[in-house]
Amino acid sequence: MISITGMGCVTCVGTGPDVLFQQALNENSGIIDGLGKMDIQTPGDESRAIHFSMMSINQAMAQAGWTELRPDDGLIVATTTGLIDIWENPLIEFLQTNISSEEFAPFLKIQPLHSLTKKVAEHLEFKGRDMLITTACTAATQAIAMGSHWLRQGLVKRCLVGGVDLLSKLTVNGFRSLQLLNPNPATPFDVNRNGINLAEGAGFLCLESDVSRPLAHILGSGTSSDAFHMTGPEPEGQGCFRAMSAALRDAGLNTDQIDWIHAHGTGSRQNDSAEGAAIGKLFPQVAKRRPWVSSTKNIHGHTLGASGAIEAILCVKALENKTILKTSGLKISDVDVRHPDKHFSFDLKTVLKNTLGFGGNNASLILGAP
Amino acid sequence: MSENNQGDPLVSEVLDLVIKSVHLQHMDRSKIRTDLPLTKDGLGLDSIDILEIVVAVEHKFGVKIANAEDGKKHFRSIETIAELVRSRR
Amino acid sequence: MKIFIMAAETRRLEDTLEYQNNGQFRKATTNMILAASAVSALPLNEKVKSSLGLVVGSSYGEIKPTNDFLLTLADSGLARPFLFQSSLNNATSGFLTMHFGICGPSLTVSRGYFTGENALEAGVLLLQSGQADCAVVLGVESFVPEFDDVLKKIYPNGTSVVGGCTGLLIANDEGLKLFDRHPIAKLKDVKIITDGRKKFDRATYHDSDGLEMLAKDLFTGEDSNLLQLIKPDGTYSEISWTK
Repeated sequence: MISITGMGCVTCVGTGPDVLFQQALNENSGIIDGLGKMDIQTPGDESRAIHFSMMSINQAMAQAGWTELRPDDGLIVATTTGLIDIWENPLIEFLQTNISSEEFAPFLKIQPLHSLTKKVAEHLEFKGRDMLITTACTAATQAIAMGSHWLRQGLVKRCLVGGVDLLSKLTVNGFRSLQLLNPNPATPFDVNRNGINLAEGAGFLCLESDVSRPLAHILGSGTSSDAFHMTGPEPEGQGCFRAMSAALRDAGLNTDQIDWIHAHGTGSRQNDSAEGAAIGKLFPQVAKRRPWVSSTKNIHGHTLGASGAIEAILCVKALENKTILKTSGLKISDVDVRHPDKHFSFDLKTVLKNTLGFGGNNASLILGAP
Repeated sequence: MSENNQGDPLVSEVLDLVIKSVHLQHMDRSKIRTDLPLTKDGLGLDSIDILEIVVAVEHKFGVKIANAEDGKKHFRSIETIAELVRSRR
Repeated sequence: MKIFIMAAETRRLEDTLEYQNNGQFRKATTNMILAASAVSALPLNEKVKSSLGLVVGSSYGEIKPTNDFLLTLADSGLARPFLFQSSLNNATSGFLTMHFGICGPSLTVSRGYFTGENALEAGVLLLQSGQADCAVVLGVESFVPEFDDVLKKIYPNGTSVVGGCTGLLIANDEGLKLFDRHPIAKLKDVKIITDGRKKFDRATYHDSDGLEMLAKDLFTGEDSNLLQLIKPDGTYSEISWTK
């Protein structure tokens, strides 16, 4: 049994899993002018991505009681843009021929995404098995899934997994060019939805097998590809359906054993209708027991490569507090799923966490109460 | 309008812009029908292609697309784009 | 579990001219073209595709669209959707799943000098964990001429850093039954050694060229069944197999 023994995060609603959960309970959105920015200053000239990662990692390792990463442990970091706050402006300066090759070389050298993992490993003085995963918005979910496979296969003794992403010229203008950005806090699954909120954040989790006092278990995971379109999900959600089905198979669970689905629910029309269709098909109205479905993107925004980790942390807090969260911002739904209309206490045993990403990537996790 | 209105200088200009912005250089320019839908049953372009064309047209001709509905209305074919440009001149 | 290497193909930029004026590739980046060219030479039949995963290894990712997006934005304030969707470092993986109809797990991984080896490890794990019975494993990199001088400073021992892709097709015992051909080799082990140091003795081609060296040795090294790849910083990997 693979378990989560420590968690840490920083998001636009504050620092740490407890704060994140409390803000979600209070429906305090961290979105300002459509974006989820973080005011945290970094010491010296370090990348904010490293700073946010290390803040989260320190929280997670302290909770798990890990004093160090040992050589037989593992480290997996997920991101879409890595250390972009360091290289983005120098790259533009170089392309505009304002700085020389010599001046630009140190920045190009850290542009490969793995520089993020490498820097984190250096901070932890870790030289063991590591990896950088970049699968757009599913990256951190894929990292958690990969970490649990490493543990199951005995490749590592323990595994630190997570993700981080920052706001950047590239992503903010890129998503704007796709007309996906909402100037107000997102309203996932709402008939009047108007797009997503990009946000910064980091989330990390400590994974171990067969421990005595876990926070939660990772019961299974599943991933799939749409093979359909570069930035839009397959409209009927077949890819998401396959990922959820694979996660159920991996966990050895039936559809009626899922209590709650923490949806990707970005608030974009394409995502919500594809994901809604996938959930509606796998957990149809005629089922004797339909899981509740919510998205909390209205609170913490969409943190891209970090979202799978941050939202998995929120799921673990919900399991711990035996509480199902509602979808903040949702008034009238247009998808065929079972939405809670308020937060409520529930003897929560299992949560299915969905993520869907550009490139037609889908990844689902099933988390279980200890 | 005729099936192919490439003779109109503005239509021709829009056609060139579309070819350049969504990389249709592999197609025979003279055979591209300017009255057909840009999407599935016509040129076969997808939603991102249309967004790319919107960005290019806004930039080149200085027209502003207010919202998605406005975009859908005017970005149906090369000729409807040309009409939009003409009407806003 | 046994892991079989069914095929290995390497493509350089000069091998991809046929893709330049092909409508299917009108939006493709250099990495996508290199990768598609390598994958199209792998023996993917419909049976294989029914249980196929994909791992793309790339260190620098999508350089050109990233540059073009940021430069266009800085110069004219234009944010081009095309360039943004291609700039994401998993864009090549997404393109390949669409182009070849791969519906299984797909992911993009990166590990500096060990990016090729890392992709191979991840592909092996897909098979061992039962997520797929066959997997396409790729190492792909491409650069732009503007970076030539900069790259010479980063890779003082580099010969050519223009671009290339190597694709392997691997299978587990179940996957092997889906082919009507024999495997090239049986993969024994992939080891990445970061705490030892060896003397670097070859020029670097690019960060994910480990798979290219492996592909070369699989076909030419008659008696050799161990490939040791020493990286510019002295760390190294060892890939072993039997024929």
